Parts: sequence; structure tokens; C-alpha cells
Amino acid sequence: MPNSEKNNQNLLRSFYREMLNIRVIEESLLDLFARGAIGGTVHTCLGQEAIAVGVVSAINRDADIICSNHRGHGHFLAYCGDARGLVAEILGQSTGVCGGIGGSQHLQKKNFYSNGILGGMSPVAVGMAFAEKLKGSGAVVVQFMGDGAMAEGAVYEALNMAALWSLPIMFVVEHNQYAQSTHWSVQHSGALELRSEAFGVPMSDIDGNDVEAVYDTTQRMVNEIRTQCAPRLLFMRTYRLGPHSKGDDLRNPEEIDYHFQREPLLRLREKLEPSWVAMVEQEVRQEVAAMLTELRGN
Amino acid sequence: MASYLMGLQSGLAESLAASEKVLVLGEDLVDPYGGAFKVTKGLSTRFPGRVFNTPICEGGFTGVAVGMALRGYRPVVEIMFGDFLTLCTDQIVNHMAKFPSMFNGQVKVPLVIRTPMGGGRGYGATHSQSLEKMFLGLPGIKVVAPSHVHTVSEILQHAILVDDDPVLFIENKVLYPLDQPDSVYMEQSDEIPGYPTVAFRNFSSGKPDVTVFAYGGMSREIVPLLEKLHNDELNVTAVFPSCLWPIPEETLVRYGAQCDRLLICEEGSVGFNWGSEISALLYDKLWRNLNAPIARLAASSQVIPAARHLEAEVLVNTEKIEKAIWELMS
Amino acid sequence: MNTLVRMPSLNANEDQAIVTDWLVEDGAPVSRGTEICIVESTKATHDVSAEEGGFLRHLVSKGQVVKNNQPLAVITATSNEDYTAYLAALEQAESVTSNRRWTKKAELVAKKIGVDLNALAGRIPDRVISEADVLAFNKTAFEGTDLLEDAHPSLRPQRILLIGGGGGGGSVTLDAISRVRHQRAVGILDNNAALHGKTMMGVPIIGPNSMAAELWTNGSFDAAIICVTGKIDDRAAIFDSLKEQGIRFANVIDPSTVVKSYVSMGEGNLIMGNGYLAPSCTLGDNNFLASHACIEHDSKVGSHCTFGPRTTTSGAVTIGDRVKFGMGVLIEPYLIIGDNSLIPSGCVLTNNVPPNSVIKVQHSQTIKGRD
Repeated sequence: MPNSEKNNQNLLRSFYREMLNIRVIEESLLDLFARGAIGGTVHTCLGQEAIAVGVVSAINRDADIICSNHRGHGHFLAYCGDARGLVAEILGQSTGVCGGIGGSQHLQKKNFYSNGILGGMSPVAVGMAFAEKLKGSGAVVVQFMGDGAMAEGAVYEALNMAALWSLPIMFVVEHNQYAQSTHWSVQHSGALELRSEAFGVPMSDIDGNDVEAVYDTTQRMVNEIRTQCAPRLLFMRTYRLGPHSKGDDLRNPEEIDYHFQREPLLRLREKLEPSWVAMVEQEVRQEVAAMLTELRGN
Repeated sequence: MASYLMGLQSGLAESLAASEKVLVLGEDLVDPYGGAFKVTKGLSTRFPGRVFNTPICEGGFTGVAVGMALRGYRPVVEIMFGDFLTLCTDQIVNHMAKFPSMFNGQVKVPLVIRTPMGGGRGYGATHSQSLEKMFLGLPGIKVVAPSHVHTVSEILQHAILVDDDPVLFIENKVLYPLDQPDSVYMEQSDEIPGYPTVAFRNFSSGKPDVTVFAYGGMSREIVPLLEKLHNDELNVTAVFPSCLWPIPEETLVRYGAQCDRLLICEEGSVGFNWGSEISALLYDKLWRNLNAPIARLAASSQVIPAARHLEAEVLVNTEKIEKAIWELMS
Repeated sequence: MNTLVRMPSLNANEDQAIVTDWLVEDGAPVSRGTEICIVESTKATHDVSAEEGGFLRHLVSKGQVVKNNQPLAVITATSNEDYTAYLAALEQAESVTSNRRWTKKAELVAKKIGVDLNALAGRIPDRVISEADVLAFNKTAFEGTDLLEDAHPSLRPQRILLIGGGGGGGSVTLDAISRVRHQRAVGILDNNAALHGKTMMGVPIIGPNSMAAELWTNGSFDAAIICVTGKIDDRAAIFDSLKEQGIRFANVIDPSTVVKSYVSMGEGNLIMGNGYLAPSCTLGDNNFLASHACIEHDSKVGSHCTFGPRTTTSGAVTIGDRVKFGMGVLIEPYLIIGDNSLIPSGCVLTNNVPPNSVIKVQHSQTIKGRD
């Protein structure tokens, strides 16, 4: 096969492997939660792995900055791959990325920061972009939020300032349709995807379950942000396959089933060799199981 | 002789000159306006590209400053009226104060939020409050409120340039025009580095009849009163910590121990306030010494009226303080 | 009814302003809310309005600088009303504070010790009367005390110095003093040099017992109490030696002890908690009564005795000097216990005890295992 096609195949394989790794770790965390090994709460990103991997793969992981939210395990793993640090943190161990103080929603490593207040990180991310612009570092800030956070006023204050001061920031909206237990349509008026343009922040509205589209669009947008030093918003439609946090799901099973037929890993598998998929599936599951065994000491 | 306002202006200017990392942001700060109370007057001209006007979104631009601080700057935010801190509370409580310890000491947030508090100017219920008590005791921040007896320029420079903790810097607006008073009977202790506690006496030798603990704008009421009480032969030490939180405990207890009659004054409203905590501290350490229950003065529990004569009834003033002192003595 | 118009306070930094113009002529009618004049500080101008309706009578002229709160005009009910008496009364009322002939501190002390300030003011016509004047005026009443040298003559509790107070006797004494308002422990002396410089319950251990004379001369305390409770001879010797130097002793009585009517006692007695001193009982000097001691009615105790916890006399018992009681001694009515006797714990005295006696008690106690 030609080189470009081969490269593309390699890229897709690496996407799949990362997405699968996130999927398996999130499932394991739910399992650990159900068995009482994790306190507090766990917000998983099942069904949204393409966004985490597609966006983060398209930025400069060494220089760019990520501001994440309460549903940030996928972003974190795509950013630095430190699964051991993440799971240890969630298990409350001193070897966790924040010594067990932060926990699931409060992660920090290198240029990655997450917090558990919806919309709260939007202005903070704008400030980081301001700082990088003043330094002339060329770094871009990526700020993840869900459709739920788009009801918070802080988000609009942030959009206004980012555009006003022409800052290098990409707002990423993961429109996963649910805020906790409530469907987006009963808490938002008007079109979510059109809001940023009122502030002069150009937007792309794409399928968030198509990792190639996510990757390509992010690359284009980050390039625009870097060259024009101006903000962008990437609006992606996806679906939260899991419950909000643990076993608190009251949605119609038929609806969930519908979205399982369209979830990102399934879609990506269509483009990959079944034998490779089977092999990598086994590898990743073994790796995660071995890590968990080691961390849990049994 | 420099006024409190000039002290703040020079503190900001010196900080901007000392470090490229210092940035200033807030509403209407840039020249020619120079801020609602003129604290930033001239700064944007003298330091181009370092002083920024923000939209009217206190929560938003406080968050912006938190982001700048996380990425290596030492920003100073001005909130035009302290009453608007309620709009910034999520950023202060859940972001600024949390990050350093929640991220296990891996990040710093060297950020100063300056804001004028206090009444006495007829601004009414939403522009006259002393809301700092809402933030006292919040883990991870310092709350600093210098009086006009302090060298405010140095304190502000310490907060901006030296202190790596986030600092809420409260300026009582009635202090702006006042000059730092001279007194031979003034001493300073530095239990909390950079944030001195100043004790102001109206007598040269002997011990105080009454020791008054107060902060911020209360110095405007108390310092002139000390001279009057001196003429009435009453020895009074007035102790003004510039740092409210954390509490300079040893210093306050040391001054409290010099005397068996203690009064605590503050401008904010009564109930779960600075005086509650300070009196608990002083009772804990000094109850054997006391000859009378600790007296406390604070604003009454109601909105601050706009009309001057109604406002005066609500807030603590010189007359109320003098009355409380003589009640302690009788 | 007259209404005064005063100079408003225009800003916090200036205490005066200028009347730039009158908007209403002198003697002209005004109604409530009418703007009557313009005043100006360096930073602001301001219109002064009438608070009541009537006739405006100027008190100052255009261009005059007036201190804040000083009168600008009077509003009178009729156009030609004479307001001079009104202004004079107002002035007199306002001058009361400035014409006060004595300091507030002097007033406070005079009230507490009963000095007539007006009488004193008659004697000292040329200056403001101070606290020291009040105290000097009343000097005879305070002869023999050091009140004049104290910053708080009328308010001060008796300052107690503990002698031999570094041990257990000291801690019970400090506790008893801490429970009363009229006394305060100021220092502890003890011959154990290892304790010097330390504090006990917040009170400094200053030095050896021999320092008492120096502290007394310096006026550092008002009365002493001896905390030595073990050796009666030591307790008595210290007492006699300090008395010789003119040092006064306090009686320290825990407030949980009940002291009934007509109880009389000398000085230097240390009486611990939950005791009972019945009506008409008498104590000499320098006795120590441990907790729950009971001295019943009409009993007489000499000096330098020590009573262990729960020692009880019945009525009309007579006890000599330097008698040492153990714990829980019971004494039948009317008995006489002679000087220098030693009564061990648990003794029930049913007969008189001659001087210098040592009572022996046969404790028969057998211990055997349970069946």
C-alpha cells in the first residue's frame, strides 16, 4: 500500500489503541467503584473517547495547555498516558498525580489542569492564554467543557474576553446530550452551537464520534489559532454512554442502545483489520489488569 | 507625608517596576480615568502593556488572573467595590484558594485581589459593606486589611512581589485620603512576615487601662480618639493587625495580656465576624487576667442605609467606641 | 420652635467649607426643602436645604469660612422672632463637655471612692483636676495602703504572692485564687531553684522564699500566703519571719467553701474547696484546711495547724497551736486538743488530747480470699 495510506493506517491504529485504553480504564474504574474500592464519585467519558484522543493528538503535547473538567480522565490519558498516576490518584494513593489529594476531578500534571466546578475553568483558561500570549510562547490553551457547562455565565464571560483580547484558546464543547440526569433540550434555549459566533469566536460543528474528523478539524483550528492568535470553538456532537457518575442512570435503555450502535470505537473498528483489533484488545486489557493488580496489591 | 492612597499607588508602581511578572487588571483602570478610586492612576502610561481594562465581569477576570498566576505571572486584580467580591467567590473559593494544595503543591497562585470596602461615604447597601468576613478562615488564602497606621506601600509590595499565596487585599475607602499618623508610641511586630501588626499607644509609660483590637478603616475612628482619651487620663493601646487571616495569634495575645479590659472593634456587621474569632482566641489564653467580659463593637445586623444620618446609626464610629471604652472602665 | 442650619461635612478630609452664596435673603420665608445657600469645599459644592419651614435668619455672611457642623442660620417661626436666647442655650449645652473641670478618669475614681468633685474643684480653681488630685484629696482615707502608686487604685484585686508555692500546695492555692474576683496571684516563691523562671498555671515562679522582703518593699504584692502544708514547723517559721518584716498575709478561701455568720479568723489561712466553717467558729493565723474540712459551731482553732481532707470537728471543740491532723479525723463535741499534737488519719477522738501527744491507732485489717 502507498506510504500515505500506511501512515494513515498507523495513525488510526494509535488512535484506536488510546481510545480503547481509555475505555478499558473507565470501565475498570466503574467496576472498582461498584466494589467499594473508590470513594466519592467517578465521572467516566465512555462514548466520548474519540474527542479526547482526536483533540489531544492534534496539539503540541509538550507546549500546549489543557484545562479539563469533572469528566477529564480521557483528556488526561490522551495528554500524558500516565494511567498509573491517574488510577493511583483515584484510589487515593500517595503515588497518584496529586498525591491522592485531588482525586478524580482535580488532576494536574505538567500543562494539564482539571477542576470540578462546571464552567469555572473557562475564565482560568482564558487567563492562561493571555499569559502565553504575553510571553509569546506560541502555546495554545484547550479548554474542555460539556453542554451542561454552557448554561454557566462564566463561560460567556470567558468567550467575551477571549475574543476581545484575541487570545490563543480553543474552547471544546463535548455535546454529550445530558447534564447529570437532564436532557440538554430541557435546560437550554436556542442553539448551543451558534452562541460563540455572537462573541466573534468562529465555530466548527462536527461529529464527535468520528476520531478522524475530530483530529483533522482540531489540527486546522489549532493552526488558525496559532497563526492568527485568536480563539475558536469546536462543537462536537456525541453521547454519554455511561451514567453521569456511578449507577444513577434513568435513561431509556432503547435510547442508550441506539447510541451503542454509533459509538466511536465501533466506528473506528470498521477501518481496521479485525485480527489486529482482537490482538490489541487482548493486550490493552492485560496491561490494565496487570496495572490494577499491582496498584491494589493483590 | 504620603496618604494611604499614595502609598497604594507607589506600592503598585514599585511592584510593576521591580518585576516584569507583575500585571494589573480590573475595571476602568487605564489612564486617563485611572480607576474608580484613582489607585492605578498613571500606571498604564508608565507601564504600557501591563495594565489592562476588563469588561464588567468580576468573576470572569478574577479567573483570568488565576490563569495568569498559574502560568508564571504575579497578577494584581482590582475589584472596584468590595461588595462585588460575591461575584468572584467561585473563583476565589474553588479555584484560587484550592489549586496550590489540591494539586499537592505542584502549582502556585501568586495573586493579589485588591478591593475597597467599607461605608461612611453614603454609597448605600451594595457599595458600602465590609464583606471580608466571608473569606476569613478560608484555607489557602491570606486576608490582609492594612490601616492608615501601616506603611501600606510596603505591605502591598510584599503581597505582590514576595508572597506566593493568594492574597485578598482589603482597602477601607475612607482611609484613602488619610496620612500615616506620626507617633512616638508606636511599635510594630512581624509575626506574619511582611504583614506587621502595629500597636499605637497614647501614653509613654505604665500599662494600658484598655486595649483595643481593630483593623482596616477603624483606625480612622480610633487614632484621633486616643488623643482625646489621653486628655482624660485614660491609657489606651490600639492594636491594628494588617493580616486578618491567618491570625497573628501570639502578637494579639501578648498585647491582650498587658491589660485586663479588652475591646474589639470592626466595621463589618455583627455575628460570626473577625471579633468573634479574636475574642475566642483571647478568652482561651487570657480568661484569668480579665476584669470584665471582652467588649465587641460591629455594625448592626441590617443593610447599610444610603442616608448619612441613618448610615451613622448602623456603623461603628468614634462616639460608639468611646462609649464602649468608658463602659468597660465603669 | 427654632431650627438650626449647620455646615454639612462635605468630605472626609476637610473640616470646614466656605459659604459661597445665600440663595434666600436674611429674614425671608423658606419652606421645607428650599435650597438656602451654596457651600463649597476644595473638592465639591453643595446646596444646603431647609429642614423645616419658617423664616431664614443668617448667622454668617457670604464668603465666610465655617467649620463643619457649626451654625449657618436659624429658621424661626416668625419673621422677627428673637433667637438670641435659643442660641445662648445651645452654646451652653455644647460647651458642657469642653468646660468640664476634671478628666473622665478623675470622675470615675471620684465616684468609686466617694470624693465630691465640685468641692475639689473649688479648692483647685486653676486647672483640670486629675486622678492624682482626687486621690490626694482623699489621702487620709487611704493611709497605710499603696493605692496611690497603683494605676488602678479603685479597681484592683488584692495581689497575692505565694510562698513555697512550687508544689502541690501551690497549685491548689492558685486554683482557689483563680476562682475569686477579689484576689489575683502575681507570683510564686519557692526554694527549689530548678523551678525558677518557670510558670505554674500562668503565674511566674520568681525565686527563693527569701525574695519576699524585697518584693514587699517594692510594692509588688499586697499580701502573702504560705503554701507549705507538710511540715508545720517550716510553715510556722516562714510565717513568723515574714511577719517580723512587716509583710501582710491574706486569707485564701476557695469559694466552694461555706463560711457562715460570725466566723472570725486571723490571717494567712489557706482553706480549700468544699469546706464548712460553721457559725461562731474561730481560726487563728496560718492554718491550712484541706478539702472538705468541717469546723463546727463555736469551735476554736489556734494557729499553724494543718487539717487533712475530710477532717471534721463537732461543736465547741478547742484546738491548740501547731496541731497536725491526718485525713478523715473525727472529733467529738467539747474536746480540747493540746498544742503540738499529731493526730493520724481515720482517728475518732472521744477524749481530750494533752499537749505534745501523738495518737497511735491500731489499724486491724485482715485480707483473705473470697470463698
